[in-house]
Amino acid sequence: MIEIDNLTKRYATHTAVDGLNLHVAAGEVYALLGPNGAGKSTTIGCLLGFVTPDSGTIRLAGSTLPPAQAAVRHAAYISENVALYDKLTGVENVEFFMRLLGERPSRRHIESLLARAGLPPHAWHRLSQGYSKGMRQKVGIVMALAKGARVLVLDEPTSGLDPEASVSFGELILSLADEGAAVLMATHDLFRAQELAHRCGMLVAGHLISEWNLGELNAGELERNYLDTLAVRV
Amino acid sequence: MLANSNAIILTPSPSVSDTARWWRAFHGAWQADWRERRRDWRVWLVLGLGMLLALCAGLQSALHLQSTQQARAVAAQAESERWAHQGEKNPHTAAHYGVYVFKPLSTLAALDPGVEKYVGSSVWLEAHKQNEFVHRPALDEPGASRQLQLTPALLLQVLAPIAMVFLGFGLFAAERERGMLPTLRVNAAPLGALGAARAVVLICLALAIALPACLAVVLVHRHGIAAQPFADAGARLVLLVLGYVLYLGTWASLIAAVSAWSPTSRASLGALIGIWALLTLVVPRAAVELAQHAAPLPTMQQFRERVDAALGSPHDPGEEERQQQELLRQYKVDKVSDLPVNWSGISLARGEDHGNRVFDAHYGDLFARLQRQSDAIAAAGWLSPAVAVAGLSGAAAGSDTASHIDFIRSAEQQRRLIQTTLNNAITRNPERNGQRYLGDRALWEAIPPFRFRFAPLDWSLLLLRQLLPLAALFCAALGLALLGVRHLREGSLR
Repeated sequence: MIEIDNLTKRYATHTAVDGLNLHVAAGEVYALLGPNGAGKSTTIGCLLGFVTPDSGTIRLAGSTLPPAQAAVRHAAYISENVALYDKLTGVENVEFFMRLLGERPSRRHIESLLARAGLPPHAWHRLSQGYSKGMRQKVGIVMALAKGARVLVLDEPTSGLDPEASVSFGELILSLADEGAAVLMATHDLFRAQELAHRCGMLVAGHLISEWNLGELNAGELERNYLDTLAVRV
Repeated sequence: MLANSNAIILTPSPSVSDTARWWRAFHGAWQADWRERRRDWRVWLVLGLGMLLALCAGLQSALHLQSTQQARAVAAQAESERWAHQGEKNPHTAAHYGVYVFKPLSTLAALDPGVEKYVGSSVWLEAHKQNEFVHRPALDEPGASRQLQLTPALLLQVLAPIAMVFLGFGLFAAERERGMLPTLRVNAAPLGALGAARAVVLICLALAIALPACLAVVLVHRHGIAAQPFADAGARLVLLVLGYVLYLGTWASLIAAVSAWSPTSRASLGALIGIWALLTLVVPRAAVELAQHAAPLPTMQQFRERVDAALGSPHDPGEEERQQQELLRQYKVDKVSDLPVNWSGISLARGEDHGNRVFDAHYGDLFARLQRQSDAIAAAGWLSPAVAVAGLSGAAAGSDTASHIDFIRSAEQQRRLIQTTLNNAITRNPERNGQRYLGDRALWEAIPPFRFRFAPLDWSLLLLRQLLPLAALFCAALGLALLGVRHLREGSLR
């Protein structure tokens, strides 16, 4: 579903991503770990067409289209802070995005999506300016659902979420993966990565220096591996 | 790993044509933008202040229109009766007795008074003189009201754009600031549809601001007493509406463009306020100054002195003598008193002809200079939509300089008709037994009453001087907005 081969991106004298190879299969959740400045956001930017790479190839859902066009067709993006229109309710925000996608959703349909995403009914018709971060993330998931995206790209999705919201968000992501979506998640949260991801990779200074199958590690081992790898590299 | 306890079915979006998708997106964006604005107190504040100003402007204009139309109708009727009932007298005495004629005021001039307050509304028609216009409302106004002449046109040309700036500076810049761009991009949101919908909402809000003013004027028009002085009033109204919609469309596009290119809302607001000041205040003022420099006008005193000097020096001093001798030969008489026609009438007519040539030359030169000034100002319409729409608005309302010159020419034609009729009457009636001919009511009423109607719009001139610049600026602003949308779609997210 997500195939990144030999991806390189340079900014002036700084190489943000250097020959990155990364594959995420359908139904798989992949956690991209790494310290600040490791190249995670640049990788996501290249994947979604926000940033033009210097070399390498990117294929989403097998498409040979340029990343920007392939992302439009196949991907959904949920950032650390899901941006919503504050003066619109949750239902109206989703309705707006669905209309931008060319759909004409009924209120009932939107409400059912919000219910499935776990947004409490009392919040559906409240202005989103009062939403917590967890509620915003759920609306973000609904937007991805509405698009029917086969590739989900998440940038620090659980940062700042309380444990309950984080668990709830994780369940949603897993359910999407179970339905066949490929999920690439950039995160610092080792605990959440351990819980959600099938595999994870460690990016340092633009290089993917380690990959682990998380079914074979426990939380402690992941953290130890992470710190050891980082110490060796630094 | 967490267990999956919340299965969700991924459903691909149904495929729709690009056009249908665009319109659905437009409709969705329009609906969402209205909802957001309805819930934003700042929108109500701007809208409320704007509408309050518009109501004041509209009421002021409407009441002024009503009172002026009434006053001019009463005065014109009184003048007509005064002329008809002046009693028996020598026609030349009647020619000096004179009559006032009044410029008709249209409803459209209440929307855009143009130069009306400064050029005078009536002129006294008498023998030998082309008098200046009098009754200039601007002269009667206290200093305070000269500072700010609030009219519906000013509201639309100057205040509506700044209201649009305050309501629309975040049109795209806010998307960038709140981090909405990545989501919009990945969802391939038709940003053109989004921008178009928001621009249309902006135009509607701007038109809503001007609505109370237009309603007040329409209300007075419906209860008005004066007939409209246009043969093409409908076309003028359509032109006015289309002109302002195009003008506000230019502003909406410009706001969208600047907002799309600006890194922050604050930068967008600063740039737009600067552009507004430049296009609605600086360029129009500079255009007027440059036009005055390019085609300077004499002062009224200089002009009058030149006319008087030319009137006092006949171009052919021997003409009178030659004409008299020719007449004596034609009628085979020796003395002027034996002529079957009245020499005084012929002499007066010759004097009028001389005066007419002088007036034609001097006023012709003056009008040519005014025309050159108008051309120079119109050229600035290629830079500023406010200049272009002001010209269009004044022309459609019949309140621009060209329309006033038309009226001056028409009033002068009436003066010459009066003088010709009266002098002909004198010529036809020589003195009998020392008795001078006296004209009566039949003679006074033989002169058709003055009824001015504005010439139909000169579409080719309007196209060249106002419509093309306005359309070009609209297209340029739209082009910038489309480039801005492309920048949002493909450029940096920051």
